[in-house]
Amino acid sequence: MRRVRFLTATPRFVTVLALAAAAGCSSPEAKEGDDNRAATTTLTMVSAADADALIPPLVSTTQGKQVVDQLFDRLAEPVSPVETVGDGGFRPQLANGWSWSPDSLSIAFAINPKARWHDGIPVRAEDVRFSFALHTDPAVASPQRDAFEGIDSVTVRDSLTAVVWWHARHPEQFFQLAYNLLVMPEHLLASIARDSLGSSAFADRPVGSGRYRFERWARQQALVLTADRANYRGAPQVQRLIWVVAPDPAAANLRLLAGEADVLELVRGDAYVQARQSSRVRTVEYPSLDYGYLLFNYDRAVSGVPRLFADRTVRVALTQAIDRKAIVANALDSLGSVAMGPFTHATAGADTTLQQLAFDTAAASQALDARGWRRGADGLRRKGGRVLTFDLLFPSTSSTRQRMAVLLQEQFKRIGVTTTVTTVEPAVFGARLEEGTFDAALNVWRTDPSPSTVRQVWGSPRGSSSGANIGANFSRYRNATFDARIDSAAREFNPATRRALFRRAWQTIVDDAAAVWLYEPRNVAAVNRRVTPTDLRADAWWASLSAWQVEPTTPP
Amino acid sequence: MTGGWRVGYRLGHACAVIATTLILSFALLHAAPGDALAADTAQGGRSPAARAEIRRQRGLDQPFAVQLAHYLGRIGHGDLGRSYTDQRSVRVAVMEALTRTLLLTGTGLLGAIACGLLVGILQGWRSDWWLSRALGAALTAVYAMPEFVLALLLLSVLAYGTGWFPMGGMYDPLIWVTGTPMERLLDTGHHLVVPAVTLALGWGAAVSRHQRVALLETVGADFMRTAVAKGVSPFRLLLRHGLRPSLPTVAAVIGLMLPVLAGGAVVVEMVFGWPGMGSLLVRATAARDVPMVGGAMVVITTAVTLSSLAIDLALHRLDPRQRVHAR
Repeated sequence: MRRVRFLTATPRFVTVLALAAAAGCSSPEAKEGDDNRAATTTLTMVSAADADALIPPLVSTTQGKQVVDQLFDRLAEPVSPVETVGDGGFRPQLANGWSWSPDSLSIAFAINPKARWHDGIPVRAEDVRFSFALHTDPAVASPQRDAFEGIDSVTVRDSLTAVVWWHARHPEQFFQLAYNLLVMPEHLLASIARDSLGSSAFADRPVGSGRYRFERWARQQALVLTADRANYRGAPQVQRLIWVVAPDPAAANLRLLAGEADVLELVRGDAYVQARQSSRVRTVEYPSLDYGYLLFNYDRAVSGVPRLFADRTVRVALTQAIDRKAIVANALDSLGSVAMGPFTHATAGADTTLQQLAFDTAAASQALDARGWRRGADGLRRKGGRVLTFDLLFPSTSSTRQRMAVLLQEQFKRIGVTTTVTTVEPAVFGARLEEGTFDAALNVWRTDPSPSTVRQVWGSPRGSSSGANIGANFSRYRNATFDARIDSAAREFNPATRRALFRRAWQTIVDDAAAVWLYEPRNVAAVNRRVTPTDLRADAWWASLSAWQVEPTTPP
Repeated sequence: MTGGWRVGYRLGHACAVIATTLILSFALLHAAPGDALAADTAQGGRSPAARAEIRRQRGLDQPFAVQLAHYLGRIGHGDLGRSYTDQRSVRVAVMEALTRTLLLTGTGLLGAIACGLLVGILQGWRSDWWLSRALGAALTAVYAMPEFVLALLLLSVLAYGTGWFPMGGMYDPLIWVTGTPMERLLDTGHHLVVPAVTLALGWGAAVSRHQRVALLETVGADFMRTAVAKGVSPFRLLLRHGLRPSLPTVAAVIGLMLPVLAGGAVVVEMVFGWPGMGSLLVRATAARDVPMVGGAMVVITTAVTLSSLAIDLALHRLDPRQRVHAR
């Protein structure tokens, strides 16, 4: 990190005076401070927002996840790229081994006897049982609660063996538990009321077993973690991790370019150009699990026609009317590619050979003509005197989607379809998607490493159409064939067969034009040249922060 | 009305204003479309059941009137509650943010007064001097410039361009962790410079314009010519006869800026990542964090009404005509 000239050059005499004054009243704390002044490897991340919480089940933001993943451990750690079937894609972390029951309905995890919480207390199997209970307790209202669906319970065989039980076996059992469960200390959390965890002292000063321990947090300013030198997995390479908050994107980028920060996780537009031109910073690409899409509301009456978008012909016509390549190039330049379906290149078993609906305005016009939507003298399509028009909703925080909405509007206009665009703040956007009070919307979805979770977003809603549990299927899309094919793929243990089954399911949803698969952003981070990142995982670029190579700096 | 009654009346008025503001802000947040808990729904987030549980825990499943009564009752007992977003005590969060904001805006205001008065006096007293004109033109440009443009310009030049000052935040995290108290103090001062200069320039431009106009009016007055004819020295003429009559106008302008001291300088705080009241209020409003917005409103409304009272009393003292009218 760049040295602060003000303190190191001009008023050095003030520092000397201060040190002289401090010498007269030195304290143990001051000695500890001197110890801290040795050359350290510090990594500073600049972020638009602060962490929302530091207790794993309460975390819902990426910033919060970045921090808790350093403080707390999983039973086993996924290796890159994350393999979700079986346990082959995991290496020991808090558990130094595990054994499956003969019927595969339970896994016994052997806790590493050397593992200690940062307060020195040994980690025990009880902590695993407690952590599972905490994640799944309705009173905690954890965003991750649904991720544990299908896990029956966790029992304690002895102080160092935790046994996890499932209702039914499935290929991603191990991934489901090991990936989602961060283990927390029962001895510090058990006495806190479950609905008051966020306001507890632990929330301000968490204690984990990870390779970093909590040092300090000034909300909306900075959060500091320091290496746990006595950690059972060994001391990390980087001695201190700092997250600083810079709400303004331009200011955040300037902080990186000036050397005040080392990592900006995502750069776009001008920031990307500046990073490429900078001698201090370089860009690093890493895989993405995000895809952007135009979703249709299947249950909505549009242009006076009930459930207009439930008609596949209309959806296919609207998809064919869009030159996705041109839109992506215009809105993202080289920082994105056309999406292939409800998955990305980084999804396990992603298939880039799926047959896509081609850009063909003539075919789109013919299809709409066939459905009775004919162009009038003014170029607009009408049926029974009603113009074919719909509204396009997107959140005000996304400039990419704002640009795309305008481009889509123009392209739909070419085939006689009029669209209006409505931008709303994220809180309204999310609520309207859930309530179904929109015609069409531009959304971005971050997929899970597991391809099976596509069911949450594109699987048919459970229950009757009114009041059905839609999950994240904001389209209210229903396709029994797709459901069956995804379920078959998700239950398949054989990797080759599984890949083939997922391909079949994805081809089904692409052919059905469930949505317009618009773009897959290219994730590009900007990092200071003194930093050499390693193993940037698509689902968690920060997973190996402790192993990054960072040139040491001497604190001022 | 006597001074005591006047203060008492204004304090009662202030209480009514605070109560009205609280009720209005609560009602507006309640009526605003959207659901803060659904902000991350578009990317997954909590399940409907989990959100229902959180609503129940926060009492948001109660009728509006019941929620409002609980809210006002709690604030009436001095309990500002806990933030919905980060579960912190609102009182602690607001007081922290207020301290930081007062440090920034107070420094900015002092700079604005010093710079504005100096330039305004120079422009009013020596209006035909080239330096006066140049400063006038420069400050007019600053006055016309949107605050975020000025902030980014100063950030680019003073911080990024020269490297003399940090790019943002309130302190260097490393010094914050490893430094001595004196180093931390100096570091905060170092981080304060560019945002405070941004505020000082913007506000100083307004002060100087009003000071210039007020002084120009005074300079042309008959009593000034009489003073000159009596042989009063130019310095004494400026200080005793020129400046004093122009002070109430400038004091009123400065008074109008006082509410911003507590309310925060939203744009400057956001650009420089200064964690004060402005950015707190923006975040809390976007997140529909009712307790946090309420707590901030209590503080800001109190500050506005009290500063308005203070200015009123100051003007009363500075301008004899007001005392005559009051009788």
